[in-house]
Amino acid sequence: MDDYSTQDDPRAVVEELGCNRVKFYQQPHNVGYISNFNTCLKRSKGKLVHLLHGDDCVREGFYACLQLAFEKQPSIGAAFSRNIAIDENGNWQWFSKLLRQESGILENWLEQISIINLLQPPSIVVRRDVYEQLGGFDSRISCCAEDWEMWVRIAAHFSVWYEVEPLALYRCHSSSLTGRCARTGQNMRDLRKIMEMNKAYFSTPTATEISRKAGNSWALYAIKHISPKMLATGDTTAAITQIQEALKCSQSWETLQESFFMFVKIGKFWIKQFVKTTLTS
Amino acid sequence: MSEQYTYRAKIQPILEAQSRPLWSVMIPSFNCADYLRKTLASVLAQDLGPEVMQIEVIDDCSTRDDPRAVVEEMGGDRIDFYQQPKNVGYIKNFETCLQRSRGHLVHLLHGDDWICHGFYQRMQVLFDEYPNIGAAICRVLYADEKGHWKSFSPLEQESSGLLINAFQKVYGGIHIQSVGMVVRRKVYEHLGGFDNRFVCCFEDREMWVRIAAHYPIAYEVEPLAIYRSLSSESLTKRTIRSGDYARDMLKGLKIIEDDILPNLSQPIDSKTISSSRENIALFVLRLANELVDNGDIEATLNQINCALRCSNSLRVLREVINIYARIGKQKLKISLMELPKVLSADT
Repeated sequence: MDDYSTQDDPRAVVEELGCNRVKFYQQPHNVGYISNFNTCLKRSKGKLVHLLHGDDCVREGFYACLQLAFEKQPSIGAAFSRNIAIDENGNWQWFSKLLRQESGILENWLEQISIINLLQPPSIVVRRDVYEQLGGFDSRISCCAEDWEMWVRIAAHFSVWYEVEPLALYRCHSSSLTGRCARTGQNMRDLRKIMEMNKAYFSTPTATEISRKAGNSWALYAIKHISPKMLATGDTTAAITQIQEALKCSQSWETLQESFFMFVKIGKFWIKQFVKTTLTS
Repeated sequence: MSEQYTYRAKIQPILEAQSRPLWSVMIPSFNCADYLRKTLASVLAQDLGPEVMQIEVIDDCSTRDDPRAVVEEMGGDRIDFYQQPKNVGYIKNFETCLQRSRGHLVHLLHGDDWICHGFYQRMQVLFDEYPNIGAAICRVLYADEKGHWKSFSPLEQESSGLLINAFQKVYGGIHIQSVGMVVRRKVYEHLGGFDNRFVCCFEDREMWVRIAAHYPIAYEVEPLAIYRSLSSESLTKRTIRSGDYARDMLKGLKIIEDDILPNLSQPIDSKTISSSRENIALFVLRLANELVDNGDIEATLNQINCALRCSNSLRVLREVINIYARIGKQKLKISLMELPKVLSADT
């Protein structure tokens, strides 16, 4: 399902590799990635839907393994496997943590997935009737984590199976979070919106607690992962915005501490730049 | 040219006239029949047929389980089984594997490790593309006892092919495990088997350095082999506690410095040698740190002793001081905790 690519020719790739086995549909004009995902869901005809982004892959045994899960436990809404993160060249970088010692239904999954996103899109298969019941991806989310919102939504209504074998490969791009989103902080605003939506799945005292933990997790993620990446590209505006937005998510002692350390790093970077510019001029 | 060293078994060449398979998958085993099933399944899943691939389990007289039964159950006639007439120790068992191999490419696959789909195919591509290489290695996954992946070896270069700076990397200690290593039989015939002076570890590292000193090596970027870490390899193991493990590493460094480095076509500078010694010393001190956490002071001191014989660099000395400080703190804590008892006994 191509969203009107402008820089390359996916149709040619499909024809070269897929012959007649792989169908190709092109959007009449660029509709944005969430609409494109929803088109994928609408055009799917099978009982089990695997939304596989065009830069990710699966390993041998993925479909057989997850199909077995649905056969063993027909009541599950979705099944996912551990995933491996790969770089632009396809080289393995790390893999997701082990959530269970053996494959099976995850206990307390709604609470776990509401605090932080623990899976990546290529690793999950969802029953089509689950999408029919719950709807497609939320179009109010403009920048990121629309998938996280969906996994929480599914977890609130269905049990989910976990496969311990890493069978999916998720490609991390060095520019995975575009400068625009990080600079404006839209990514964090999206996350706060989703955290607010997730509260509806819990009773009030639990909702507050889950929200607090999630706020802390995402704040730390922004400070420890996104902000340093932005700083590494020299984008100090984005690095600072991420910290500011993180502090809106959480004011825990850990977040404050990490923010301070990150500010110090940004400060050091500025000083270095200043000295460099002064010496060269 | 065949170098004669008394500590290395001579691996007898195969007469070319005999028809030979391409691959020899030689599986040494000792008390690992439970894990052997997964090992054999992973090989059989990509079996190239008996004309192309020899698969043989060489058992060193297992006492706790029945590997022969597992081999028959999993492989029927497809997998050969040889049992040593008596327990000969792991290095001699490895030597038997090499002697009994008949193929051109030898994969020494320990009976508790296993391989991913595509291993033999991808490694064969490297040998076909680079006919001069002596061996090929792939990245390795590290799994726990249950077989869950825990980590994998770092990426040494961006793409598969000849390993750049192979000798420096192998000598410097890049992650290589037997399960991810394939060696031409001719190379073992030329260089000999594993050095039998080792008692518990490093015999493989010395072998890889020996190979890298004589032949180019190819590298596969995808992790295609899985090394199982057993709890029996943990800090409670006698060989680690006693310092045998650390001493084998020091012994290995000396063997490499005495037997291999002087004969290199391009000599290694002394900075690289010191760096290698420092890396080993720091590795041993990491073990020492974990032993302090366990409260095992005697074992800690064994590691420190060995680390200092390995290297006296500033980093090593600093780390040793840190460890002594930690031991001191621990002892002080224990004394303070016992003080109330001592005081009440006095009154």
